[in-house]
Amino acid sequence: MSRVGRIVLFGLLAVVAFPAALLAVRTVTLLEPRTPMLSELPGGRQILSYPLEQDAWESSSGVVRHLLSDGTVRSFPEGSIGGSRPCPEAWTARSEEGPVRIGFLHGVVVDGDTLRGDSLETRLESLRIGLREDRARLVDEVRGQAGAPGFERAMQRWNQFRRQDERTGLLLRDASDSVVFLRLSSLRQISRAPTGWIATAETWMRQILTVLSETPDSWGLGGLRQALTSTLALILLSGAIGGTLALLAALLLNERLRPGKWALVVRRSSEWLAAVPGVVWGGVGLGLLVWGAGAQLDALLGNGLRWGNGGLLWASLTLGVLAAPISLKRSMEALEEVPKQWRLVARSCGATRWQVLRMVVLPSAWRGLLGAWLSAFARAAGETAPLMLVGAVHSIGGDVLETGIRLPSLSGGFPHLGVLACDPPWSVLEAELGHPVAYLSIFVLTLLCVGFELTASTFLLENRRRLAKDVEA
Amino acid sequence: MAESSRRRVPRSVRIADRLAGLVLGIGGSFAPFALAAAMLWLFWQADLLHPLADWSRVGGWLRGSVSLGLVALAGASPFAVTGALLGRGSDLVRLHLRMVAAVPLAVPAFLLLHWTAPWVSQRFGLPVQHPGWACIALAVGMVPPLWLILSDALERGGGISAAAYALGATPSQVMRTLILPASAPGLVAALLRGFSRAMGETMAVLLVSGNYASAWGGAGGAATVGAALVLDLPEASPGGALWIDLMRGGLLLTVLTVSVYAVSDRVERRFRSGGQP
Repeated sequence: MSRVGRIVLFGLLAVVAFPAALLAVRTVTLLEPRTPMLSELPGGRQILSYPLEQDAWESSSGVVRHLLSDGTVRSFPEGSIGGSRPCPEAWTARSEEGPVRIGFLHGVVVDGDTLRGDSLETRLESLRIGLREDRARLVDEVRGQAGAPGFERAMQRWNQFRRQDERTGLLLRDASDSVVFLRLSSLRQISRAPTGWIATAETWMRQILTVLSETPDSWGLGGLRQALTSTLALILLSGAIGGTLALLAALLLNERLRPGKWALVVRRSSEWLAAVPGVVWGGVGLGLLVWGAGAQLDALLGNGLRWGNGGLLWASLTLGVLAAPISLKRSMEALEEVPKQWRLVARSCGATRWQVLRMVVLPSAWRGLLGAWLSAFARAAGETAPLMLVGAVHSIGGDVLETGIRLPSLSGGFPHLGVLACDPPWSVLEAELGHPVAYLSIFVLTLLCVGFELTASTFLLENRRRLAKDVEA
Repeated sequence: MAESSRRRVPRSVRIADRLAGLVLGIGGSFAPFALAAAMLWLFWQADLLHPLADWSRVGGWLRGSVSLGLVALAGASPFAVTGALLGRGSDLVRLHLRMVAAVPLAVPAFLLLHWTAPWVSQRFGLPVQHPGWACIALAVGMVPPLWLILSDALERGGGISAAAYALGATPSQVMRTLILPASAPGLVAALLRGFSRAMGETMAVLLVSGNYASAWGGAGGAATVGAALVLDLPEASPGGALWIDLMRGGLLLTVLTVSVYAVSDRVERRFRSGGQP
């Protein structure tokens, strides 16, 4: 290749990789902990606030919107605020109820007694985590004892905890010296804008982990844990279904079927399967699996509406069929790289077709077949549209206090990272509060797709390289 | 000799062979059944003779899908063709491409929606939700998959150009007189395949057009078949007018994409069998 050609090629490659790189940059900048600003208002009043990004949906220029220390958002004409300075000593508290509060640490109230002093900051975090853990444990206990003799005792302990909890909190003082009490167990996160890059990186990592591991509230705000686990479960299930079907089809076509009418039908329809749009599969899955098979299953089992709703199983079957063609194509390529003569020699020695498959084809092409199998996972991870028809939901409401990772049930609706990212008004709101759930979810989804594809392609290329070397030798 | 060797194959080996054939036959021929089930169900639900339906609505969706596909193809193909012709056969390029092509098409749309569109609308006063954004998002997003399809199509037949180089041809001569003419049918086939894929793409369009009533016309007035299916199918009652329209849209879109794909397949097979020694 000429030098100009090489430059053009790598320029194009860079352009192609551009969106993914942009996404990474944007996610990182949004997650960066922001420093509150202490600003002077025209009347001589001081406020603590975050300047928010402009509202994309109204494109109102000339106005700067601020998130104030009391959790409200106000717009100020540009230039009306004089003398802003960053205020790293201010604290930020995100509560479960929604508003983000900004203020100076005034004190900590523990069971009614106000504490002040130097070691407050370290005590604060352990106190908060302890309270949240206690609360989750007690709620589980009350739930578990419902109807049992121990219920009264559990309720007593819960009420005792509630009384203590009501009187344990954080005192934040804003710029105009009014102090607000925040119940400690309801706070998702309390932090101070870090100084220095090590502290920044630490806060940044902590924020990513918080967003990824928090269970969302019933509005779906706050965390991605459910979406992450159910997306992973969906990818694994549908990839395994699609990859296995494709592997069987490839082996059937390449090793088993003699050329004829049926072989042609199987081959053509497998290729054409790739052309059916994903969303059409969504519709077909809704009609045939959810309302067809699901309703039949419900009628058979007689336990009400359970399988007749969109759910993880139907979604993964739908995605499995959708992911199969790419895997099939790559399996066929991997099988075709095994020289025909090897099979002929084995057959002429008296091996059955199964023996040829087991002793010649699989040992020499397993890398390629594994790669092709994994391609189905990558394809399943990248498709979102059909899921909106076969059971993706915004959140599984009600289990705010759930602890531990629990797999989503096969019959129930499931939140999905791609679907979450595609809800613009909600995601814009989250991003403005320094909680870029949409960005993070689509970024994690992209990482999953690219990771699966990279593994798959590495296996496929390795397979080709090794077989080419073997054939030469 | 043949008789005696056949008799010596143990019974267990023969049974294993039969069993393997059975498993492969049942699992492996899922494709015809899946395709037939999908098409038959769509056809049954579309109820082509039903008087209630509104063909103009279906036509509008289909027109949206086809024109978006064409625009995306027109935007993406110059980059993809250049890249595929320049980077033929390199494993590094291929690995990189496969990775980037695995990125969901919703990513460029997402970035456009959340980053570029607000910025442009603030600077130049354009609306944030506009069909033009969907065209751009699809065009950008289609470059990697199209490039990958193209480079798969052009993969074979590196031998002639090596011979030409050996005879002293320059790279541009090889490109002009050998590679382009020899690979033209393959390019056409791959472009058709990309068109078939772009027509069915939903998420990018949906994101930019919004989940709600939007610049495209709101409920029942989505731009493409895909967007209409996702937005309106959960609300449509089976057997109702909207349902039948949606099913007709889905059926026609599937017929369209599959037939474009089949044509591209045919072109490619011709090219493989005829064009190469």
